[in-house]
Amino acid sequence: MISKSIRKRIETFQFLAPAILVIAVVLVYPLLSTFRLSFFSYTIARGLRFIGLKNYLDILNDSTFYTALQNTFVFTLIVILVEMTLGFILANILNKDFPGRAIVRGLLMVPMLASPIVSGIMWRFMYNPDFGIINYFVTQLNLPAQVWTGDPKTALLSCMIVDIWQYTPFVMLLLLAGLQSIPKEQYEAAEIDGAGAINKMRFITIPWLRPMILVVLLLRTMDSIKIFDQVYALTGGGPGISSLTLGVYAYTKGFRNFFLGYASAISWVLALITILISIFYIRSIKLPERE
Amino acid sequence: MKRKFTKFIGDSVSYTFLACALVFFMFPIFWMLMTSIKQPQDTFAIPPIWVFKPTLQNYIKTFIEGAYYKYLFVSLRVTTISIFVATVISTLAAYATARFRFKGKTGLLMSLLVFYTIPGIAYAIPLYMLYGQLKIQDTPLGLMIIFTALTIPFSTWVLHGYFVSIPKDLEDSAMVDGCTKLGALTRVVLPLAAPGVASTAILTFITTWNSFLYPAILAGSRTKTLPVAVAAFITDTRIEWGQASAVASAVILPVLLLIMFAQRFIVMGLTSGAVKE
Repeated sequence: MISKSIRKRIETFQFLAPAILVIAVVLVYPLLSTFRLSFFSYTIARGLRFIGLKNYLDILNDSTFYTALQNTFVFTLIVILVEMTLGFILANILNKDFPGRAIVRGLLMVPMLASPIVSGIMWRFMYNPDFGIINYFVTQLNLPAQVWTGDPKTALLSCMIVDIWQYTPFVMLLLLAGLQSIPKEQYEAAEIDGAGAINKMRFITIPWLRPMILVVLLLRTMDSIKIFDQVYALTGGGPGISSLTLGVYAYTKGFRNFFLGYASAISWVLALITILISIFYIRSIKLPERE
Repeated sequence: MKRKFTKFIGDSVSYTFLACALVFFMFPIFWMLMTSIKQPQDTFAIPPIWVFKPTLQNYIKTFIEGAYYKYLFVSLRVTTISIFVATVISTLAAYATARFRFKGKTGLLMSLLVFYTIPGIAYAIPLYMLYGQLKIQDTPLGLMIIFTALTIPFSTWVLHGYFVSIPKDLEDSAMVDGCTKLGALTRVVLPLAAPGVASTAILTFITTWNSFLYPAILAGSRTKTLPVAVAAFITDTRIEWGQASAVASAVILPVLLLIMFAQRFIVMGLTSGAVKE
């Protein structure tokens, strides 16, 4: 006679087992292997050799790594600033009722759901200095033509523009959902008290929206720190290393030069940064009630 | 009077801004679709040619003559099967986390989010070596395994939220009538949670359909997916932009269709994926 509590445990386990099994084998195991590999040197000629902390010490002395780190942070800071601002403005506009609002929202959703690698390639075509449509528009406005992705000065900026294009709609959509959850009575009451637009924004909209703003901010930060597809398609990190980000650097080290140990160490640094941010993220959202 | 005037100015500024934003956000997609149906000699024309006789030449050259239809089939097959399997597995797991009491539940839910946020490259290197040892690189099965695994954390997390929001009483009475837990899930909970399950499946379908890093690393010539096929164009010395646009359009068109017909579900999945109330 099996006790009731054990039967219950078996039942719970049956439901969870497939998910836990797949996650353990296909995600946890590789993650731990990456950690292990980061203490090894791997080259095709010599295979695996244990080298202790050497990869991490090398990272500390690797000027390319610092450039990639700096690029990643500059990239993240600027795109998030622009995306949050533009997304907030657009969300407020779309929060009003006007004919065709659903269609506009649908159209604005296209960039964020478009394949990132395809977006990068699409923009690369438009950025082309010789036949790209962007330089055509720029010269029509009597501004000097740019080399965009081909110039170390503008390469990272070109990548930022694409990210802003792709993810501002995401920010907009989530902030819009936040705005729509604010009870209308709040505004009506404020109007009776004679509050103007600025005060309504300051005392109702912003405080109500604050949790959502935080969530979007953290989600976007995690995503832009690990940016890969768009940069890979637009510049591959170049020219030189002018637009190299951590994700692209890890990929290049691993799958172009096949320094798998070193690439693993870079990946772990990158993973640690996002895990740290995700802890803040988890603490900022309310976990659903236990039952 | 003054108030009306300020409102009018405010509205004009808002809608002008919105119109500019629409142009900025829509133009690249529009331009790619246009390029894909232009004659090859018009592809690079500057000033650009806006009015032309559309042709399907680029699509025929790639999908039929270049046999790109194979990549389309790989993408469709791998994505559909992965999302189906991942949704079934996630539904079971999410039902358990939403309904059963057990130790370490909060930790489990949190770790789902951590797995979801870790950059792909951190899983990629050992998987690349492991796939080589297991001889499953360049097979549809190999891609399905990684896509399924990457989908489960997000799916389970979102579905957990939907299941929690469904009242428990209905299942309780079903179980009093002799229904098992699995029976209660499939007969009582799932019909109620169907919109939530659909929105999760649609959203993860799009993410998987779009993904590049894993198929680029783990797939070879036999299991190239469409995004990998598009990316291959940029390594050519003379890029065939017309054909690249046609293949790129084929990646985006199904997503456009989903936005047209399932916008409500996509919004629902995105917002409940980010926050739980």
